Amino acid sequence: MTILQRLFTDLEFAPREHIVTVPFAYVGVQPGAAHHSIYEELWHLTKWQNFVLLLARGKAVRNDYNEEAFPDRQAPEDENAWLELVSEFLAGSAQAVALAGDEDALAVSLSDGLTVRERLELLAVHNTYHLGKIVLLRQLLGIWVPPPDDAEA
Amino acid sequence: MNTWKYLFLTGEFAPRTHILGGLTLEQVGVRPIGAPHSIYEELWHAAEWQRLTLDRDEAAHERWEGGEQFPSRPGPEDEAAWQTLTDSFLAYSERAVRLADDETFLESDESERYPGATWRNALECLAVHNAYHMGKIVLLRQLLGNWSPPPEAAET
Repeated sequence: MTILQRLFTDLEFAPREHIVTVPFAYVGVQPGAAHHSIYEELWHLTKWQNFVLLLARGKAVRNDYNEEAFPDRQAPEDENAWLELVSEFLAGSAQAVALAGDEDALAVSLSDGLTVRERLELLAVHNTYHLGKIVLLRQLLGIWVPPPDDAEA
Repeated sequence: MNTWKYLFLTGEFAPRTHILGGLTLEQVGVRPIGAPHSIYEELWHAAEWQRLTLDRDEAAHERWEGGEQFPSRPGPEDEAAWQTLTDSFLAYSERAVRLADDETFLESDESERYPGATWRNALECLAVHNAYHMGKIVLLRQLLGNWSPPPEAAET
């Protein structure tokens, strides 16, 4: 796997799948004065990831997509809804990995003037900002167990 | 858009100057209950990794690999020390953006860190590593009651 691909799976901090494997009872909690719950953070980054991947694959997208969007509820309706969101995030990450492994695709210039590679770089950074928050939310809730060999707290 | 400037300084979430500004000495040294690190510790870690990567400081890298990845205290000695740290982080972030202006540099070998890596890869990793700790700093600010997104905010 290339470095760019691994920025969507396990490089620089804990594996993303490990981060989003959260006991359901905690995903809707906002500890202290935190502005968002784990659910809200993951929903936001997943929906933005979906949007960016459409852009990167040259698909038509809404011009009025609100990149500041968060869900209208602090917690998912039920555990199924949470698990579906996790699956959606991981499926999107897998798409990003596939795209990042295609050297020809990476060089393609998109209608907004960016290359596919640049779009994926921006996406990796955006995902990471919110995944960092999710890790700290888990630490605040006392439910973070670092994976083996985790160099990042 | 200068994507590297966006990645290191201004985009995908609040400008880094905004994230690191307007904090008191007391706030940057506090570890809210449950948080393993303070704002100071998070920034010191991100800044040191960025510095030693861009400076190719092998001695510091060895110390880092030996476990010296966070400062010896949760807060800076004084306000001047905090300002020095933030100035250094931002200066090295600006340096990363300048380095990325050179396509030849971006494609040059940086396989000291990873086999087959280029400096483009190294800068991608650095931007991601910075973002991880910036996210934590913003959440710490929220917990301390000292966070408002910038007026033109795309991210909270």
